[in-house]
Amino acid sequence: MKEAYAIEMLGITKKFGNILANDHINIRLKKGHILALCGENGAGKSTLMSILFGLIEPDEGTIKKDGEEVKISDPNEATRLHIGMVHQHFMLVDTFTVLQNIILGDETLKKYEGKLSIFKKSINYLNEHIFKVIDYQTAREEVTKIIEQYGLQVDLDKKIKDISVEMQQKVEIIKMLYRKNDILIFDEPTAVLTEQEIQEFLQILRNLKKEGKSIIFISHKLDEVFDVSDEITIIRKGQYIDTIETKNTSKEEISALMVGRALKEFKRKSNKKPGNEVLRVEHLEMIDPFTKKKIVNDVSFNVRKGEIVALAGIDGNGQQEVIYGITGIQKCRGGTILLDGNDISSLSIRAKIKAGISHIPEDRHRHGLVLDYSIYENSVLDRYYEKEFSKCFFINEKSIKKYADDLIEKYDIRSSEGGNTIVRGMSGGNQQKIIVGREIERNQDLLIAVQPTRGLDIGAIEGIHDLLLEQREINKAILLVSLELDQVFLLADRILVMFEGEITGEFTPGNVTREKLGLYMSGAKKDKVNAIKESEHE
Amino acid sequence: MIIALSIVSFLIAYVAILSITALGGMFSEKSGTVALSLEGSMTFGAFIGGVMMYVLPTSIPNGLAALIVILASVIGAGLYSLLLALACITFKANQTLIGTALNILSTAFAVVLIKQMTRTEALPVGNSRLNFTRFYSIFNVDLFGIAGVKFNWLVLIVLALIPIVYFVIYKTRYGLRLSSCGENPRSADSLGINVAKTRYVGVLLSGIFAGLGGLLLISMNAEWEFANGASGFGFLALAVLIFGQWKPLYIFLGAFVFSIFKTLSVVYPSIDFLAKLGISSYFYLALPYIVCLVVLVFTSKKNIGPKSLGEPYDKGKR
Amino acid sequence: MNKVKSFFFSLLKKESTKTIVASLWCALLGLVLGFIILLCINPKEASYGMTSVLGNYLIFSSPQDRLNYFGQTLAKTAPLIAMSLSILVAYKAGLFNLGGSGQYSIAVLVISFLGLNANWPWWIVMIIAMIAAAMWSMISGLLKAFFNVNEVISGIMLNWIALYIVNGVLTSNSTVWDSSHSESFTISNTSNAFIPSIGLDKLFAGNSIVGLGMILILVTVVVIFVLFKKTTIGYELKVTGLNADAANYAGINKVKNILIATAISGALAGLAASLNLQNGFTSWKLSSVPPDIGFQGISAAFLGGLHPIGVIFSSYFIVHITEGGSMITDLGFSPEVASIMTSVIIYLSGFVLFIKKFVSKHDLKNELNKLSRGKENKK
Repeated sequence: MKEAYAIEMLGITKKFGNILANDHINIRLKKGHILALCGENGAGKSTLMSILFGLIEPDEGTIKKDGEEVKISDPNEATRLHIGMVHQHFMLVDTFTVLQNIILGDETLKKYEGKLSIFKKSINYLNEHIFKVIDYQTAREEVTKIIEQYGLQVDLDKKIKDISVEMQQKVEIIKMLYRKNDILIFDEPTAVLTEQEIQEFLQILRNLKKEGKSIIFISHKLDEVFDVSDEITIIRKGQYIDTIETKNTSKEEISALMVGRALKEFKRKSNKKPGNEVLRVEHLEMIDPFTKKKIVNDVSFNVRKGEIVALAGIDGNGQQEVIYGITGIQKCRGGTILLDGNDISSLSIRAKIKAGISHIPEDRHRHGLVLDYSIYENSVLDRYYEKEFSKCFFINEKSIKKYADDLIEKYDIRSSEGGNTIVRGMSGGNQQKIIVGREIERNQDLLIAVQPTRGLDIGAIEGIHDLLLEQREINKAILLVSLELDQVFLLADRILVMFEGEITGEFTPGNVTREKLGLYMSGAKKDKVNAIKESEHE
Repeated sequence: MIIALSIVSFLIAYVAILSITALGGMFSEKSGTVALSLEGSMTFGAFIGGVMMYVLPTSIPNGLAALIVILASVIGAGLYSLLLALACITFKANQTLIGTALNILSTAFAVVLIKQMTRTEALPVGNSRLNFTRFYSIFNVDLFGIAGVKFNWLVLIVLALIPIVYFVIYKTRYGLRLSSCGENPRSADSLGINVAKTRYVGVLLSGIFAGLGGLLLISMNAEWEFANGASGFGFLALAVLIFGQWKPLYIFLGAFVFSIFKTLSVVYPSIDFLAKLGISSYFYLALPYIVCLVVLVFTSKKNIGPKSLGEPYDKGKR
Repeated sequence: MNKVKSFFFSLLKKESTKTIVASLWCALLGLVLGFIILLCINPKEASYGMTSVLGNYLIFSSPQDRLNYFGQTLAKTAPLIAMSLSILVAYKAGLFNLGGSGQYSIAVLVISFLGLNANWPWWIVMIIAMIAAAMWSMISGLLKAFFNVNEVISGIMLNWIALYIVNGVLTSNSTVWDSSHSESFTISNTSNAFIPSIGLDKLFAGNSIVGLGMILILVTVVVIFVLFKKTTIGYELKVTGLNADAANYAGINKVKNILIATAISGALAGLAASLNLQNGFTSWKLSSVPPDIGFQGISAAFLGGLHPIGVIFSSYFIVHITEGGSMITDLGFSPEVASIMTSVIIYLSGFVLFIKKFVSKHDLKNELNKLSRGKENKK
């Protein structure tokens, strides 16, 4: 007897430009089961679920619901098929109440319940077609029934902006249940929740399952995956790896499958003893301005001359915020930041830059470049005011041109019109090279690199790796944030794993395996770490 | 006593003009489109209405004539606002720029056409000032029969509309969906709401209401100089909208506050102790705008407007 | 052949070429629409009307008259160039200066008193007028920087407040106010405050309006051009306007830049007033609405592609058809026809940006990628 599949996604393939996000992936969700979708960043999980929810159309492949082939062209179609999705970024209207958010788009209209039937007919007709007065009372009753049935406590009359993130998530779930969705997709649902809230959420999942819902949830946190799921599907670099019944496997096995075996022969970097401390971060604390949740919690580490310290971990665990705090782009709630012994915690961004920080930002379009500027203009974005490039108020075009031309030559920046090319029209890889070149050439004591090789081809990636190692050789202090384990192993002298805003592990590439790293990255293992190390120079 | 009643009559009329225009702007902005062209829509509505008042023959009975004028103003201004909708919603043009263009266009258009219409042998260049004494007496009646106190009954239509607008925004499906398009169009879209269509309706409503406001404005006088457009009432209404935090009740209150100052600038000579103070009339004229600025200083810190105001919605971007 | 093709292609795809072509299209469409309106109003005279709008001073048969009116047109272009530069500077920094009229008005007030009353030398009057206008503009800047007040609304409010201040103060003083004509006295060409003509008037058949002002505005255009192309101030302003996040990343001070942008913007509006009044052909007429020039400046700025050189041409164009329009009043057309044309042009320019964006995203990227790949292959 074959168990019915609620959803089957067969041979799903999706390409974005040159990137194969999904390569003939097969997903089978059994009715009434919870399937966990696991994989590293960029594995293709979100793309896959976006296809299921109708946000994206696949290049190849079919989707079946209850054994029948369906075509999901947009979210409305998905909703009609009773497929619902809770995204990582909630789709809620902040100024509306919980109740309004739940019924938006599917509002019940008032019906006249009086005695006179002629009256009743015409009033109801008018209301349905012309006035459309909302019947909040009936809606409230229906929603309350759902709340009680599934144990999802929320205050219907509070505005979304006034409730916690956990509550907002419950609202999203109720939205799905109100529309009688029986296939529910969750994209990293616990990313924004605290320990306690996660436990409540997992209980909600169990309740939903009890009521016959079929659930897919994307997560990289193995504790939860093993807590509630029936099956686990692993995807790695766009490829389908395996589906295993949860009770027949272990966290070690899953994290090994997630990160894969090491494929490359690593280049040997020189044995270097790090020198004096350049950057010191003590007890850093940061709060997310929207959710008010602690997003960086008591983080302490240092970076010394001649070493590369890598903040590793799955995206969204606080790494980006640590960088924002150090560079000043976001305000710190607490903690101190010292550069070369000087307290720079409360300096302006410009002052921090001048104090000796170079920063290759994660988002090159948002922070790193002015897209409508030329290469020349972008090459001095954070140093146009320096003596070399401007006298009094006048920009020294000649010296900027020479500088930028050197940059283009040295870093192999390809463009159609040389230095005058407007950056917007360049490929992502070449745009990145401008930023990398610019920041390295500044020759500051501290170089912060966040995802420095994102969007680059193999050759360019190796080029950047060589550059970073070169900087290490000349005794620069480098703080690397990377989501690619290959890169981390290759470049880092020290690896600091971040999980849920804390440093939960400190390793060197020599004393840890990918699998062990995977465990820490998924929160299966945690240490309490203060990663401040003394200089090892005599 | 008569003076006091006159003042009240003026005040209520100004409140009505500002409220209805600001509420129109509210529909536009709450759904996501900046209502900078309120001045233009008011002018156009006033223009159409004014032309109607000028050309309608006396053979048409008063009641019907008044109806024609009102409908013409409102429909005309509504159609005019579609120009804004087309440029900003479908073609995603810069809303401030388009709004400004439409403001200039409406006045220029009105002046050109009216001058053309008023050409005579004696005055070949025409006049941009229109006289509508007949309609002045149609629209403005003696309040409670007291001669010397004029009351414009269009005000009643406007005042009746205000609670209807409140009801629509807060109690009906239209209101809920309209607001969602201005706050989070992506969410609205994902729930099956047609964002573009909703925004078109929002702009259309702003045109219709502003047109009515424009008509009310000029009908308070026996003649109107169209080179003045709507005398800046459209911009004041925009300020009222912002000051009223895009909420009908606060908008009404805001309109009230500004109207007090506007009325003051007109009636202060009749108030003895003020007249004796000898303050320049220009001070009174500037007062509503000064008050507006001061209020904005205190209310602008937090961005309380619709989140997606001014941002064209691109379905393609995910 | 391929090299020529690709060069031509790259020229066509260049931003500046596209902008010029787009602006020309807008202007053309605006004129066509205007012509249609003229046709509707007075079909018989429409073509004559259109010719004179387009021809302006060329209507005159004697070369003397032509030169004279050409000179007048040029002289009236100068203030519009100044105003459009005002809009341009603010826009580049990410602000929309709708308060140009108000800044202009304040400058008029200063000029009237220092010029008519006190009879100070022209250049002192000009500088003080510009400073006063800059300060008025900075009110909007301060309100935006510290209180997050939308500069569009504050600009408009300040327009009206300025209007009443100027009306009130000017009318109360009989040395500056000519109550019989309901306008302020014009600055005569014998006054100290009159901008000298330095012999340019001879070029234009003795039209005394043409003078140093023309040189001044050209110098100003160059200054603004240089400001944005070659100074750190311009560099920072542009970054602030183009990408606030990148400005933040680079440590650029947002408040400082808003204030600088509004100050320069205001000063330029003040210059417009100076060029208008101190040339003796305009005065302040008692009006119940703020002066038009603030909005005309917006038209000229956008039609000129928001480029300092471009606004010279667009300003000239607008003044040209406005002056032409004012000559056909005897046919029953009103000079406002030119306003219709200019506002239609601006309306259309909103679509142009869309078309450019659309073309940019697809074609530009593809073309440039193809070309750069071509270059790589050659390597």
